Amino acid sequence: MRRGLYRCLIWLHPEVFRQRYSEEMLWIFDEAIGQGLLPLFVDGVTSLFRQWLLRSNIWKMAAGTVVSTVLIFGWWHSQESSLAAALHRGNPGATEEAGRRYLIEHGRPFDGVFGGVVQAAGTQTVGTAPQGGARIPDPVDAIEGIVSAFKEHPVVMIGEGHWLRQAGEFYTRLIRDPKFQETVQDIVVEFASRNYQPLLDRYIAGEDMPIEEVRRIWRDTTKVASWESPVYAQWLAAIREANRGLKPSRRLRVLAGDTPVDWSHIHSHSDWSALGDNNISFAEVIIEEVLKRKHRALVVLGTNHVFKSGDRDAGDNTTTRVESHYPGSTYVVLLICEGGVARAAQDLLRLPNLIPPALLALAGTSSGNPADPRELPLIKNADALLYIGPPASLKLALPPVGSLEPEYLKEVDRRSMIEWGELRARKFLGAAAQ
Amino acid sequence: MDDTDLFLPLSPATLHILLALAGGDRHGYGIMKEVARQSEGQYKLGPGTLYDNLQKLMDRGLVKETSGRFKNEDPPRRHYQLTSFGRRVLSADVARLKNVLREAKLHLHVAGSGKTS
Repeated sequence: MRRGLYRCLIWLHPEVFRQRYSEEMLWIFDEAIGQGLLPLFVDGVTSLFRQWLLRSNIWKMAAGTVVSTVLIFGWWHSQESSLAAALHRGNPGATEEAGRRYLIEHGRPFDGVFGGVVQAAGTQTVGTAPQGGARIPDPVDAIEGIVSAFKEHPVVMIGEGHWLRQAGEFYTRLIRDPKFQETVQDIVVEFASRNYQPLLDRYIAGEDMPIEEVRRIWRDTTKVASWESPVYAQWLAAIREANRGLKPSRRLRVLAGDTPVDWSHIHSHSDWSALGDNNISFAEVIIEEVLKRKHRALVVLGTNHVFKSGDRDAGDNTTTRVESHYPGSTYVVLLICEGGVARAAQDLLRLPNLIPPALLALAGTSSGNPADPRELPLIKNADALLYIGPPASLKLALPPVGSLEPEYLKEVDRRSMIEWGELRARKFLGAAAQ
Repeated sequence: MDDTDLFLPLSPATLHILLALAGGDRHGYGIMKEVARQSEGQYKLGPGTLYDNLQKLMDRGLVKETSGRFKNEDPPRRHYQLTSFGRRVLSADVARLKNVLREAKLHLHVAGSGKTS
């Protein structure tokens, strides 16, 4: 009976909270019931109010309704007061004109009830009306915001700073979200080459595979040792895990976006250069595997691949290539991390209601600081910004020491010499490469 | 301003949860018991308050869920871990509290001396 009541109390919580914590809360109830029932129920009721009133956005809806009502009444009263003012001035021409306008707008003659009394309210309303149309972005929960963006755009692209631990944690939370899972079919990634799609499909489907085989997914790409951060392997593992709990028809597919590459045939820089621009490959995958199939996809690429106005060298990138075939299909989200995007967004980072993870939609705002070397404003490069914490708090997740075998490091050195003519990968791989 | 300053001062619930996790990974009930132990029973967290705070701390990157439920538990439970950033925030708040304590001791001592002299 008492357990049933407590279960009801949990059931009344918002769905997201309930799905995540109900099982654990019930377990704690069972464990702690001996220490007193009343505190558990008081906590449960408090939690119910807290989650609905403070954590969900219901209070925003209520406040929005109140403000809208006040504005509508203010506007209505201002219409009435213009006639009342004309009557008060005894100006027959103005009275006649105001009376005609009132008749047209309200469908009945003015009866003089509101005369004079509401004029102050009308004036006040006009004075507080929005000026100039520019607004300040209103942060929303990032997961809700991204899922919501799919209503209008089949492709949501996150432009990331690579190797960020908190970004990896956010991606994992995103793909575990039930609404995301209901909405999205595909996830297009930069850290896998298309020739490994069959391997990727087997891994994501849950097949038992030796790690030596799995890691070829992120090791054999066109970019040398660029995906050794555990962020990417952990995200793939989280997607694989999430798929275990989904019906086969609802499982997420990870699409390798990078240009096909076989390093055993690459011996010189010209061989490597011949691989070409990987934006072409990303765009092809998005068009062929997502848009032509009427799917929805989350795409995670480096920032330069997703700027809405092309890459930093003024060339086509993935977004412009996709948009040229499917205009309006993409929604570009830039992750706020240290560098150009953080500098451009510095004013927004001071918003008092900015709680990570948050999405800041830029449409209709005046967010215009330059985000790239061509001095283009943010709004021309992105539809929204993703805030996952103060930029200075975002940390690189480096490959753990011992995670790179000597044989592989030798191959990394060979590839580094081909791509850069120096052992550059040894530097950014940190202690794992020493 | 240090990036940890954005999170200070910590609320009592946050402080206790971070302290409970400073000793190692724990599941939800483990955190509740550790908080009760550390406060000698003076501060008790209910499950609703606990998970609300854990969610906020995870959103802010101070705490993370460990990479999988512990399989040897039946049923398996989620475990939570203090991140290195969370540890820095906790250390910053402890340093702040030390200053508060030092000031309190100083003023209470002076006030006490005044009364007895």
